[in-house]
Amino acid sequence: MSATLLIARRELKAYVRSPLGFVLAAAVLLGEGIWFMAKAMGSPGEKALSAQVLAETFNGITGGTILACLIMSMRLIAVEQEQGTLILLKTSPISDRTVVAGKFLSVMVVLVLLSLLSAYMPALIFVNGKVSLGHILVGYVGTLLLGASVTSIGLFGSALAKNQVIGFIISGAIVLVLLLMWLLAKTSDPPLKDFLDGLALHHLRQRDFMTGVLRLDNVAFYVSLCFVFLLATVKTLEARRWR
Amino acid sequence: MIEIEQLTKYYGERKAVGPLSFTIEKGEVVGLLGLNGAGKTTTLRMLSSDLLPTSGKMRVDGVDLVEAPEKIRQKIGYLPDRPPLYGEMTVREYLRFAAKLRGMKRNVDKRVDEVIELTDAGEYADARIDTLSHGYRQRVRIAQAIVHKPKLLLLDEPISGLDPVQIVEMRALIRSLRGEHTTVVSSHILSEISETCDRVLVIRDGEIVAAGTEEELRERMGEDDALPLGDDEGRRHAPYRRPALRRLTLVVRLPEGRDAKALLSVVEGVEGVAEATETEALGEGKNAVGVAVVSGTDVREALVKAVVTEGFGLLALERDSKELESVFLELTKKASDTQEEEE
Repeated sequence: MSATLLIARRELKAYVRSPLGFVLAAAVLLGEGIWFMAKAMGSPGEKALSAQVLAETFNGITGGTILACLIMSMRLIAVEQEQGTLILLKTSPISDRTVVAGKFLSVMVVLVLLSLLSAYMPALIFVNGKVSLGHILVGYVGTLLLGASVTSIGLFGSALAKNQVIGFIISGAIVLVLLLMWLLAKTSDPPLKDFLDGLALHHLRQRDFMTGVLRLDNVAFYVSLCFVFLLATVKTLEARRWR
Repeated sequence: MIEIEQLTKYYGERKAVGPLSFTIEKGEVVGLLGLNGAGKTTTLRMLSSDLLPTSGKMRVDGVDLVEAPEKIRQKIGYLPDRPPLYGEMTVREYLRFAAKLRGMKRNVDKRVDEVIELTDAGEYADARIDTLSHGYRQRVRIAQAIVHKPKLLLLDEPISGLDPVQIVEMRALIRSLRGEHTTVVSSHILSEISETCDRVLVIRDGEIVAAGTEEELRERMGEDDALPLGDDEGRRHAPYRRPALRRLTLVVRLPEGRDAKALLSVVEGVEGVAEATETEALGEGKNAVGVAVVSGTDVREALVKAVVTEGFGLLALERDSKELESVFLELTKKASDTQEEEE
């Protein structure tokens, strides 16, 4: 556990010491803020319900989260591979699982900080409208679960590639396919339609979280996705020792 | 400390190393000498447990590296060919990170200070690594490898890219680690190995082609220079082995009235000197003499005494550096090259 924290702490320091962390946070928060303004103001003469505005706000926040997690995770292993620092981790008395866990944890910490910084938007709706605290919390649970899933996919792409751009393309492609599953589902018949809908990363699953509905199957989906891609990342690192 | 049996490593279809078998005793400083692409880095990567072998056994301190790598990694310090440095960290932060990563829990700060002092990196201890010169980065590379007091130290090309002053300092540092650590140094530079190591393993095409001390290697090459003899009926006897020779270079100032011939006869009169044939006038009365000495005998004291007693001004007596280089070239010459030469 201490080695996981050690690796996570080093990653966090690297974010803070490079402009990437600040630029990314600023860009994501700016984008989310503009989205929120547009949704909160609504169209002239049109009244928006606060619960609807909150759901739309989370829609924007999840978009920013996907982008932020992809960018943060693409460098986690690929850059270490490029710069030759991965060998320090691979020859230390820690398992590949610990390395992956530490890197995953670092992105999750940044994601929680980003979520806290975006909390002024739901807070404004909470103060001026009629939404429950539970709705807001469920929305953030959905955002964090989505972020964790995208991060695990990003880590997998980063472990496969030898440079971060290729890593970004691989993980971006996986995320895009999972995001667009609902389009395929639309043109399919049951039971294939249900299967494809079930695989969609955002569409129906995030709709539940955004509207304040916490369903166990949605949580299980994101947790499973994280597990599968984190395991694949560990196995990719282990396989490298045989190459 | 290290036991390797029939170790092989293939990258796809291409053999990188093996079959490789050798042992290294505790406290030894062993040089892995070979040309680029001979398999040195792959061997060290396997010993550091970064890479797993295709077949064979590797044991470090009695522990199988394939079966229990995490158990033994704490005892290994590895300096890879590419520096594993995080540019955004300061030297002190980085060493603290490396020590903790290698499982050090107590007295980390004290040990980091010790290592900084040992590697003479104190001036830049709190500077970011990406602002350091190449030489200082090399010191940090070494420091990260020894910070957790490993039993086994693996150094891949430790003087690569250093200037002459830094090379001397690095050699002194490696020598100072003798005894405390078992050390394997890989290099394609002969002088680096001969200056720092007790024993040399010469690697070619992934296989050990010669092993021994510098002296033993030189003698072996001498013995190989054998003349097979036959009797009148054509039966062949065991080859006559010419005694191995070592070469020294003697530089003296000739006194007035004495010439190079007189010098040669004095040198040849010393017991253990096989021949003294080459002379070179260096101007201002200085002469250089190539002295061939029967291997295993130390003639330096007698030679100096004879030369000085005869009134020659002794300026220098040194070992011929080209000699070991030729041994190295011979050993690392590919079999195909030898065949081509024979044809």
